[in-house]
Amino acid sequence: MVERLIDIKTLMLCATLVLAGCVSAPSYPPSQPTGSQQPPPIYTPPGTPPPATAQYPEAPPPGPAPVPAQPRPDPSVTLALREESLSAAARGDTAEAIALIERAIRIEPDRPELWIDLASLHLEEGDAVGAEQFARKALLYTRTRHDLEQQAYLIISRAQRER
Amino acid sequence: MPRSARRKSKSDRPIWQRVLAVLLIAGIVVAGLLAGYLVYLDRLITQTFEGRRWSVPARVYAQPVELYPGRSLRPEDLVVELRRLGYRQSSARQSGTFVRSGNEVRIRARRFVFDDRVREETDFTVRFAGAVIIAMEEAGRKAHLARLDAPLIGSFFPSHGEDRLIVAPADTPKLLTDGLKVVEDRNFDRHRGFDLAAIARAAWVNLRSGDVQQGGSTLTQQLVKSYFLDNRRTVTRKLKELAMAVILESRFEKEDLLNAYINEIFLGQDGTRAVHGFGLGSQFYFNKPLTELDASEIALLIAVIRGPSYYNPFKHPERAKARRDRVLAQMAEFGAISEPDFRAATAKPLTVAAGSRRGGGYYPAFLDLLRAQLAAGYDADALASRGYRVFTTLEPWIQDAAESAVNTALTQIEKDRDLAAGELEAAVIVSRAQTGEVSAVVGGRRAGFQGFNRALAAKRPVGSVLKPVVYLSALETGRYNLATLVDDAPIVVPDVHSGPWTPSNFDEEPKGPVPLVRALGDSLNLATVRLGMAVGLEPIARRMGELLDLPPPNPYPSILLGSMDLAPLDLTRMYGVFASGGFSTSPKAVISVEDESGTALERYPIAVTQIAEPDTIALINHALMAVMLKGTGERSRWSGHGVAGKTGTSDEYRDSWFAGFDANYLSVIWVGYDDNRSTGLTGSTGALRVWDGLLATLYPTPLTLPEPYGTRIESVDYATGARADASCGEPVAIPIPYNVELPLKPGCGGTMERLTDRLRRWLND
Repeated sequence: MVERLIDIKTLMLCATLVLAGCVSAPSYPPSQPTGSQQPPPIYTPPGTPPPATAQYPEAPPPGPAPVPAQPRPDPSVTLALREESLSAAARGDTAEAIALIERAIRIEPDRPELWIDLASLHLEEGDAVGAEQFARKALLYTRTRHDLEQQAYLIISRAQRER
Repeated sequence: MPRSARRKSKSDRPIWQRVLAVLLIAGIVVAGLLAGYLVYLDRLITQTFEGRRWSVPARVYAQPVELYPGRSLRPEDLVVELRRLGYRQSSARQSGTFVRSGNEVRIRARRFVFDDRVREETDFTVRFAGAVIIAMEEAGRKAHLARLDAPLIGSFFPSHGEDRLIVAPADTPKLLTDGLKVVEDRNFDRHRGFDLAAIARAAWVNLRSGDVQQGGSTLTQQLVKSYFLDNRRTVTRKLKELAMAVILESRFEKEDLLNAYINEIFLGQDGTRAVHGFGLGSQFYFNKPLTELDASEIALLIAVIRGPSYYNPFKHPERAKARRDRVLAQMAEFGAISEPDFRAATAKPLTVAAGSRRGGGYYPAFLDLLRAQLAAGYDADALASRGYRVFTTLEPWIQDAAESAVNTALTQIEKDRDLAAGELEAAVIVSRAQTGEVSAVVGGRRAGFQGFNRALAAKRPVGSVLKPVVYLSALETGRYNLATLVDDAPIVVPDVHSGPWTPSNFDEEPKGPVPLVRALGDSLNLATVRLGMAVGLEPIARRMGELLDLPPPNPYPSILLGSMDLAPLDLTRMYGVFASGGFSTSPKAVISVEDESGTALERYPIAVTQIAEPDTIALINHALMAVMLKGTGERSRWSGHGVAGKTGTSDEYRDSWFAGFDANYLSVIWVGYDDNRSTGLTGSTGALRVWDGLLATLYPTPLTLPEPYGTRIESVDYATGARADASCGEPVAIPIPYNVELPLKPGCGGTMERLTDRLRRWLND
């Protein structure tokens, strides 16, 4: 009986340590790029299907809101603009692609995908400084989306290398 | 005598021949001079004509309203937006019309050239459930997104005031050209610049009536006259005008001349702006494009040509209507309109647009900001003449809400407090929290008038509204958290410049040890000074400079209480850092500029720069939310709606400030008197009331703040900083670092015992 109790205590301690490990994850990316892995291409060349990020797996709600939240835009709204932006970028019209993402950001400023798109487009345009800033902006909204968080960090490290 | 005789003998010509010769030479000289003069006139009029054709002031557009499923908007709000664009309720399915039936609005949208694409005329159907759009269709197919036209909000007309909106012959209604010919120049298609019959007829009519009823000038002569703005009635001027008219007729096609006339003629005065041409005239008088005018409206425009101020339909509606009906009668008489149309048109009352915003009327305060931002890339001359289109960030519905919030709140405050009516002033800037794009600028109480722009130019003492920088600097040291106690007790600061400084609290009463969250929330001066002195004046001054994007203030102790003069625009920049999670943005008014052909000359992309750790900003924002829940912003009606903000009051109640934000919009508001006398208002009894009114339209979207890494959300007693719940204290939910243990508030008992405490006790057993 006593032994089993200790076992449970040990388990819980382990669990706490694991949690602590999560908690101490850096909130900032390392200022120097780490590792030598090649970042994946941000924009798909024309002809290939759009990347998986163009889907919106809805994130779990971030805890109870203090008041009933306002209705959110239907996810299809900014998705449509992102698709248009993708095809503008595929045509080589980066300025137009950026304008479309900015339009989407006005509608849904807290959607991290949009800031990641904006960062990629600025990177493509050679604006590494802006790209890094937009990726950092995306990180404000990626706490529950580790896939997007990773994408944002990749852009940041690429941008820092290109600067 | 002999000499003359000799000469006479040399030439036997009679005297008349010699006179003739002299006359001939004189004639040749005069003809030469005249020809030279005509060549000069020719060059002058041709250059003017050609030049005018291309001199078009830049047009300024606001942001179009985006419609999409999930957007909160009521059908009546959509109708307001449509009316702003001059759309009218009609089931005729014509361009520029809409039909509202219950929860559905069907729109026949005009063709519109946006900065990124052209939208051809199309049908939109928008369905609502309560105050939310639930479905949309475009041309019968399901649509995700639709834009209304971008509202025209002004133009950069040149200093001589002439503004115009060019219309092409294809966009000119036939009734307008027919009507102009009937009323002004019946022989237009045949004459060569002047019309003797018309002159004779006019003379006869005027003689009979003893009044100037008719002019005999052709449209071409009127065009010439309009170019040179010379109203002296002299014979030489008339002759010069005549010569130029003949020259124009010989050089250009009738159609070009008529089109020039339609774009040139003076149709009204709007403050310093002179309304020229029927394109702008249509917008100015009816708030819709020329192509959408009916017969009575076209007739009114033709009617005012003769005397835009005498027949001003806003000031002299009866006079204008009588003249309009006379024009309609002439149009009917000469077959330009049918008899039934004539009867229907004369039966219509004047339908001129109401309000001060006709035809791209003014948002002068916003345009000031725009002008300043465009000045770097474009000179005034280019803006006034090259026909550019400028797409801006202004959102007219927010601008209107801000203006009316200012007026309502100030009037109410003056009434409540027995202040002289109409003297309080205010300034407001509303911007998008995440991008810094400016949605509205109110430069004063009379917002429609060009005047001193308090939002951009009035630098006033900011007081406590600057305090969050002190707390940010403290939290950034890592030595403090929001529950850290700081002593709100009298303090003497040795000031190197003006001797020792003894600040006091607003209510003169020291509060003793208080947590940081309350020191900021209740805007306690003593606690703030104590905290600031502990952190250090140098780093705080530096941080102020960084957040304001200004040179740092001198590190005097008084900066801790906001002894700095700033404009609302400066504070917009600073609070933008909080509202955006740590990113600095430049308040931005321009989205893009394109040339006459629709090619983008320049885009002004969104730019953000991270200047603070998002986690630290989240802490500050939790504190700014506590301001609204428990502190000086508590009396706001939006207190429980997930908003953040800070009040400020300068010495002797001279300036009342409030800066507040939700997830989407940041507002900075100042209230005070221009002559700097005391208002008796604090930030919360003055500026906050304006914000309260504004948010009734700009309904808040609650902030969802991230939980900073290494923290937990703790229920902390606002007054004491100990752990407490609602049964034993006034709790606020704020992030506390894991490694910080807060005492339990006395009297809070076992229910408040934390899970971790229980766990630890259990583990230690």
